[in-house]
Amino acid sequence: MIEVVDLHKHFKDLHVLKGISTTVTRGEVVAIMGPSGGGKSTFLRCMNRLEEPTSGKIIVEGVDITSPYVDINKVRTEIGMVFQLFNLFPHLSVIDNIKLAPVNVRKISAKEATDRGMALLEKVGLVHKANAFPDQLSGGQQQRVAIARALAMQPQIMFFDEPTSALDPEMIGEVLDVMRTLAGEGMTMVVVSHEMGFIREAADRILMLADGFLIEEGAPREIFSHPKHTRTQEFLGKIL
Amino acid sequence: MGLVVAILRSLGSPTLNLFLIAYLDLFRSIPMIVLMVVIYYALPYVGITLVSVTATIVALSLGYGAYAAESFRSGIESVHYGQVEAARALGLSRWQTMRMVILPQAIRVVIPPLTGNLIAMLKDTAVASVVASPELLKRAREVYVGKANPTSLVMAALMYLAILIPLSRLAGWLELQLKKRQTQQWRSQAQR
Repeated sequence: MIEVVDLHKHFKDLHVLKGISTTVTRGEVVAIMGPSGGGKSTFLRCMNRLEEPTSGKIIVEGVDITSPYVDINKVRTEIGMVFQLFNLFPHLSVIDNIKLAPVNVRKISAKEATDRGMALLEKVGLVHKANAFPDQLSGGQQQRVAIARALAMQPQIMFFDEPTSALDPEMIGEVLDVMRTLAGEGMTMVVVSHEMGFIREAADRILMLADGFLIEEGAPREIFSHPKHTRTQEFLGKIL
Repeated sequence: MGLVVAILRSLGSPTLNLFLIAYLDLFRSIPMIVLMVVIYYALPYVGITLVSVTATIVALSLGYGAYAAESFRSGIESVHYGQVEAARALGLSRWQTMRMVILPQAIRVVIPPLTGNLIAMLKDTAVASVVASPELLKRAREVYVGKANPTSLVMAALMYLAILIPLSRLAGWLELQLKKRQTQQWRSQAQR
């Protein structure tokens, strides 16, 4: 579904990604872990070109999205993205946040978008907040709305960029519950996260990124109990 | 006009920015009275003749457009970059992102300074008397000269006050509302 070939990313003199290659297959839940500054977020953001890759290929559903001729807006409609800081639109109500892209990009009717939006709010447990504004919601609620907003485009893949890092501990569970449900429904997901519990249960594979290299990959059970690379051992030693 | 310049600047093209900054610097540096006189009396020599009212409107638009552009730009830049990323990640185009996500947030920030601009501009309409625009001050002076009675001038001053005092109160009120909303947001964020 996604194939990454020898991906490099430079920020000026800084070489952040040093030749990453991997694939994500349909229905797979992939967790990206590793020490901070290792390139996790950059890697994720390159895959929908929020960051421009310096070199390498990223093939999404058979289309090389690094090609200058590709309609990146169209690619992005198939990739839902959830950010660390939620990034809800503060001037729009919850339901309008969710409807904005389906109505203006997918061109579905406002009525249909509302119905779909309400169904998604039901799913994340926030129907009663449909007409609230983002600044009236808790962080956990905002993040659940952000997930609903991304799902409203009916994407093929969902990216999560440290979705619980900005949340108070008691709100992390409600967001992870929604993500677990999604994973259970067979959604293809790429998640940058250090939530060990979630990764252990929900992830099919872990990618360990450190210093711009993909140093190790494998099933959570394997990596958590028998990490091969010393950097992986160090890292897991610190967060466990 | 200011909005257009500000949006063009937000595109971040270096060549385009050079021209835009030249425009901004030029028109923010020329006193309004000089600008009007140049447009009305000097442009005819290069074949552009404008009647006084048009000359006034053109001069005010160019001059205050530059100020408005800077206000809009600061408003656009005040919107957090995460907003752009969220919009683009949903598949919205650059223009849709500007129109549906950035501008609605920027305009709220920009209204108070823009009202200030508007007040300054209305006052500067008095300058248009130098190019014989039939604005308030000129009319008052005509009456004064015709009747040798300064009442008309006092009336003119009062009329300026009648228009501008409510406007500057409005500007103050808008600013207060904005501040209130911001503190509310900070508070609700702090509570989290």
